[in-house]
Order: sequence, then C-alpha cells, then structure tokens
Amino acid sequence: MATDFGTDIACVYDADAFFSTTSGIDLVRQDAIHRLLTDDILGDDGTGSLVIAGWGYDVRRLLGMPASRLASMQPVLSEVLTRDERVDSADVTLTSRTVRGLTDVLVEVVGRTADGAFSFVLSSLDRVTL
Amino acid sequence: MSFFDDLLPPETLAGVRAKVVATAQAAGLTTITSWAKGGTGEQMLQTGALVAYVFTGIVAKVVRGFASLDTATDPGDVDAFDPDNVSRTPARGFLSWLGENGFGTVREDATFATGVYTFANAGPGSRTFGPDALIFTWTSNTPPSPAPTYRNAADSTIYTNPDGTVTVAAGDSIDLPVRAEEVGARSSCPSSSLSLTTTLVGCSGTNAAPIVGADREDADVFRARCRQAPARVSLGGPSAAYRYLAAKNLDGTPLINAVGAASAINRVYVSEDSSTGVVNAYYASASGPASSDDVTAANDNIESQAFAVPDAITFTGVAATATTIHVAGSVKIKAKAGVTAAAVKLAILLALGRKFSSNDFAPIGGLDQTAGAGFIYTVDIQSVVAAAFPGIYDPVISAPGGASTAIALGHVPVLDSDALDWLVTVVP
Repeated sequence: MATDFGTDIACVYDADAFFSTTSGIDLVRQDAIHRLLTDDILGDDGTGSLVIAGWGYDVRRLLGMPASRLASMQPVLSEVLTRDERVDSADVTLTSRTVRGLTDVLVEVVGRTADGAFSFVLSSLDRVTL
Repeated sequence: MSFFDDLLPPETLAGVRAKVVATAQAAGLTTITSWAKGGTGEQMLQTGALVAYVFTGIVAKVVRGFASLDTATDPGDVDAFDPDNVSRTPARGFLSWLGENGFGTVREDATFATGVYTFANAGPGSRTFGPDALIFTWTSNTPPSPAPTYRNAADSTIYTNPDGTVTVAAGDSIDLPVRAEEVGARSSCPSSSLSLTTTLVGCSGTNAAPIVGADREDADVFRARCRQAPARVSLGGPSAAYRYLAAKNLDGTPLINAVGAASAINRVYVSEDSSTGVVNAYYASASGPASSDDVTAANDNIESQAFAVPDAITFTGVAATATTIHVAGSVKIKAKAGVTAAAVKLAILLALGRKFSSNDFAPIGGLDQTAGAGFIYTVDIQSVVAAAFPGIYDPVISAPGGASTAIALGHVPVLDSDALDWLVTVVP
C-alpha cells in the first residue's frame, strides 16, 4: 500500500487555473524543489516569528561559486532535502557549466522515499527538468 | 474592555494566525494544524494570516491616530503600542496632522544647526572654493561621538565669483555661513568648537559664536500646546493662552524670535490668582531658563493679543531662575553581552536629561505647588534611574539628600549630573 505523503496544490513555479492537487512522490518532489529555491518561509518558528529562517537553501546563491568549492556544497544540499521527513536520503550533484556565455550551476537531485525514488534537475537558465 | 481598548492595541501575529486557523477549521479544514511547513497550501494560509495581521495593524494605527492626542504619534516618536515607531525616520504623521487640523497648531520641525565659521588663509597662496566644498568638524569642547560635521552653506553675497566661488587671498579671512550635515540639536556646539577638516595648507579658523540647531518639538510638549490652543478663542485671558502664545503664534505656527530661531520655550508658569490684576509668567526651555531672545518674543506675542492681556491687566514675563539639582548615585546590573558600566551610565544620564527637560517631571515651581512653589521628589528621580537601562536593580540616590528638593516660585529644576556621579556595579 502506498505511503500517504499528503496532498497539496500542484505548484512548482505556479498553480493552474483549477488549483489542481498533487500527492504521493510527485508532492515530495515538488516540496524538494521548493527547498532548493527558498531560504526562508512564512511561519512561526516557535517564538511567534514572522518567518522560519533557514528552512531551505536557495541554490541560486551558488551561481558564481568556483567549481572547486561546489563539491563541498553537495552534502549540504543533501542535508537540506532530508529535513523533509518524507525524504529518506538524497544525492545531489553540482556541476558548473557555461551556457551561451553565461555561468550556471546544474543541480541534479535523486531522492529516495519509502515509496521509491524521485529525481529532478535545476538550472537557473532552464528552470526545472523533471 | 471598552470599545477603544479593543481597537487601540494591534493584534499580535500569533493571535491573527490563531484566528485564521480557527476560521479554516470551522470551515471543515480540520487537519490544518498538521500541514507540512513550506507546502504550497500552508504558505498560502500563512500569506493570508500575514496580510490580515498587517491590515489589523493599519486599522489599529488609524484608530490611535484619531482617538486622542495621547495615542496619536508621528514616525520617530515613542509609541506605547508600536515599539518600532521610535526607530523610524522622524516625519509628519498622525500627531502632526491631528494637531494641525484639529487644534490649529503646527508641530515644529527639527532644524539644521547653523552659524558662522571665520576662515583664515595664512598663505602662501590664495584659496578659491564654492559652497559645500569645505567640511568642518566639531573637535573641541567635548563633542559627541561620532562628532558632527558641517559644510560651508551657500550665500550669494559671499560666493560672488562668476563661477559661484569665492577667493580668499593669502593673509585674509572671511566669515562663512556653515550648516550641519545632520539635522537636530545634536549638532549644536559652543563657540570655538569647529575646526577645518578639508585639507588646505595654511588655512584654519573656528566659530566665534555657538552653532545652534533644534530637535523636532517634543511630542508631549506639542500635545500640551494643542490642548492649550482652544484658549485662543477665550475672552478672559486664561493662563492657557499665555502658555500657548509663549511658543506659538496665534495661527499655531512656531513663534520665531529676533535671531530667527523658533522659540525653545517648553515650560511656562503663569500666576493664576491675583486680586490686583497682575499676571506674572515664567519661561523655561528644555535646558533650563529661557533665553532672552525667547523671553522677548514670548512677551511681545502675548502682549499683542488683547484676549490674552485684557485692559487693566499688568503682565510681566521673565525667564525662570535655575535651581540646579545635583544628582548622583549607584546602581547594579547583571553582566551579559552589551552591558558595560559606560553604557549604563550614558542611559542614566540620557533618561534623567529627558525627564528634567519635561514639564510633567520638572515643571517650573516643581510638583505639589503651594503659591507656585513645590518640590522635586527624590523617589521620582530613583524611578527614572531604575528604568533607564533594562536590568538595573538596587538604584541608590546619594544626591540629592533628603526626600525632596524645594523649588521656589518661578524656579525651574536643572539637572547637574555626569558620568563621574554614577557608580555602576556589573555583577558577574
């Protein structure tokens, strides 16, 4: 029997006009993508705060980082992804590349859950590839 | 709780969140409290709660702005309902507009300190410069930190070269109007305080007279003046009319003295009971007795109004006499980050300075007056010291001795206290 990962509005970058929902591994992937695009979220961290700081890590901050340092960020991003209790583990590969003269960092993620694996690729130039 | 009690204080963010969640649960979203943080739906809920929180704050602020003078504030004023307000850049807000539109009284803005710097060029060559080209710094006579800076202000009678500059020949000197770069009284300095900061070999000088600027009119002083404003339509020469006209024109604009500065009078005592038709007024500013220029301006303004000084009334207005109160003592405070004896002493001195310049704490004649003579109570001074810095305990006032200091008729309490008067024990 499939694990209940919850149900939410389908919205990686935007929702559709019907506010369609998503669930299962697709929902976990969607939330993992958000973890790597958002540093802080609105909410109470237990102190009555306005935001919860450090909820995720916006990988766009990696743009311009020397390639020699990217490898050291991979386990950092893995830890960020596993903060979601539905994600058992995550492998993150960061590759520095140049596209049409523009520097980019390719973020390749393979995550594992109780119901199987999910993957996605983030690029500042091409948005997300599922 | 009254109607206004419910509306004056803003809702807390936690309170708004709780109300939004309760509303959603009542609508059938029973599992809302177990939503994963950061999910799309959950963040949409948080956005709604945040918008509602901001809106309730605006509503509460508007209610406070019009409910009363005491709850209305301008940005930069202390606001009992909004701790962040005092840190905002001073500007016109609810208090200024309520005062101007409801009471016909204009709140005085802060002014830049202005004065004259005598610039001397010892040579070997002439010097040519334009307005704002020179920087001066307050370096003598214990300047505050960081030290205020000033620039040579524009003046078409001085900068007469075709290109808008002035040339000072070797061996010559010239009086340059200068203006502080920071608005307010902090840049006010005594004579012989300024020195030339811009590097010009052979050039020097100083200010022969004080450089004077003013802070924005204190919020509580302005509120008191607004309450005195209706006295302008009286036919009976009430004391409130004297108090009002001592610092405001009849139309509510700031009273300007002979040297072009707004009257600094913030405290007035008016004798209220005379069988001989004699009315005596005493004036004081935030620092003590009012200046002669302010006294003259106040008297001229009062005497020009027939409703204030009716026929057969003999009016005299003079500066209050200073009664200096030396304040000294000791406090204790637990050690923690940011707590130093110097910081606590400074906070004590600033708190005492604010209180001794206010009419509520240190009116002319003191408190509990009999025939215009009253007291300043030592226990009140102790309370000010105790509240000056978070964490102060065991405040002891060694001076003044005794339970109170007598203040005679027409006398204004003036604070005498500096860092050496205070012992701060930082307890590990």
